[in-house]
Amino acid sequence: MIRSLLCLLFLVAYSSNAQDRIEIQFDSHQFAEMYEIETLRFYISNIELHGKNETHFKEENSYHLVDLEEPESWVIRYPNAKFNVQLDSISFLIGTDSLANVSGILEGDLDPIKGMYWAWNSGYINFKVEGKKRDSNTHFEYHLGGYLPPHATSRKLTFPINTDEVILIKLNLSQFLDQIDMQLLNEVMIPGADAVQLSNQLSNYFSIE
Amino acid sequence: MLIALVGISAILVSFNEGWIDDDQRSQIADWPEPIYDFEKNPITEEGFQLGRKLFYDPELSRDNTISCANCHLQYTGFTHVDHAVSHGIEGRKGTRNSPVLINLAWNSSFHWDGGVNHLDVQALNPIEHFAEMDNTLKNVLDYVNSSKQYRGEFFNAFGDSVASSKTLLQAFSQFTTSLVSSNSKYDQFTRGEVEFTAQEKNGLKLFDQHCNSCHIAPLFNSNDFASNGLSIDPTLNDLGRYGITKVGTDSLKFRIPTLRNIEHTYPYMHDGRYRKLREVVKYYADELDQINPYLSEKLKADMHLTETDQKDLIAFLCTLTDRTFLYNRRFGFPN
Repeated sequence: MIRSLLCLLFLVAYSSNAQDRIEIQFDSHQFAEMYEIETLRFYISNIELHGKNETHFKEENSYHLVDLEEPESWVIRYPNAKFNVQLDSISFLIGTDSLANVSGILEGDLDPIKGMYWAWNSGYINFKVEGKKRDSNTHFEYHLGGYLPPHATSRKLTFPINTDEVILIKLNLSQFLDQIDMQLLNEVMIPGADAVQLSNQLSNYFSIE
Repeated sequence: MLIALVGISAILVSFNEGWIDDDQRSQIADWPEPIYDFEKNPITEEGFQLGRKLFYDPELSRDNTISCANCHLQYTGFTHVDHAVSHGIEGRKGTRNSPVLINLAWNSSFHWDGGVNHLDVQALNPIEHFAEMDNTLKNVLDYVNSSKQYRGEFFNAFGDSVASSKTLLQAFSQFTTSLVSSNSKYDQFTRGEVEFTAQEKNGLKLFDQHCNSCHIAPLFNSNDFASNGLSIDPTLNDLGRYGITKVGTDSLKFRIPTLRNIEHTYPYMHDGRYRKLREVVKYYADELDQINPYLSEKLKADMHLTETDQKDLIAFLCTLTDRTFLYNRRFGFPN
């Protein structure tokens, strides 16, 4: 399945009162103008919700693979989460933490059968996007991974929450791809300086709506 | 307090009680603790036998022609004797000398470049590598899950007849961690069971002077990487550890492998360039390029080994041969 999109939106929805649940939703907005996206898969991990400088929700074993082709992966539900305070921020990692990368064989979204694991240089691909830039017909493959300094690629993001109802976080994939000079760099397949550079840039294109 | 301590040690033992027999347990009593975490994968007879069967099963390769044992033969310390670099399906050749599988429970990383950080994920490499089995993890799982016999064996080993990535790979580790070599003549000598000849004694003395800082007894390896100054083979262009870390000072560094059973694990070095042990010893004794900027600091001292010394050193290295390991039927092709 080939999909095209300009940006990916994901929603964090929670209720602080009667509903007693959290839902994180990912939503794609499709545009066929600049890029043809063949694969978009990335991990978010270590999801936390904070209020008044305290952590009120910290998911155990928090690893989620978001896959453009798997709509069910755009929704993360916490049906039993309960809060008595006003939440004011959310934090998570784009990618996996170093523990996941050194723990041998893992299950669920971290199962190497998901195609997000490098066998020859143990560790996870934190973010994978593959596709084609339409105007120049350039094919690109960016596999961003690596957990060892100085080439660690997961990035922690924290965003303020200013509503009780829905938090909408956007990944502007098109803008991220726009700023890469694809003539110079059309693929990254190993941990290293390029993966670090792109991971730094990538974190700038997540935002709160 | 004493009871509590006894309780704790009893728990520690129970995690790996299925790992090795009592004889071997006493042989390794003074060794460092294994690095492999048996708590996460307790070894059972069923798991060991399942891993053994998988190890010898050629159906794991894409065209059903080669098993793990093709490049890791028991009688030669589980390496590919006589082949400089390993061979895969359809006659494809790799770029490195297949490593021995000896005392892997004490390794903190795997492969000549240390790119694999946990034994449980190592087997993904030969299964999926183009020049080895060229298969996929999914195909292998589909294969074992479609076999009535394997389904029963997975159930007996892991309590679930459906193999997962985790149970498949942990089954391999149950077998490979069990490949413990601890009963060579050297081991018997250190336990006071046998005597060394004068030649072997001199070899041991020379080994302690010149070799033991990297190939550290009793495992005769280090979990570290170093350059022994070998010139780069332009047909392979292998930069070793640098390929993993992308750190300049790691250029041309390779794993410091165990020397156990080295008499039988020829050819030698990461690219298998030396066929004879005497060529290896001669290289370290006479041919090291002292102005090579990558050469390990530990090799920057002339060894002054006479021809007799070199022979004595080889005589010592041959005491690392462990026939109870190489000919243990438990590790061979399953019946």
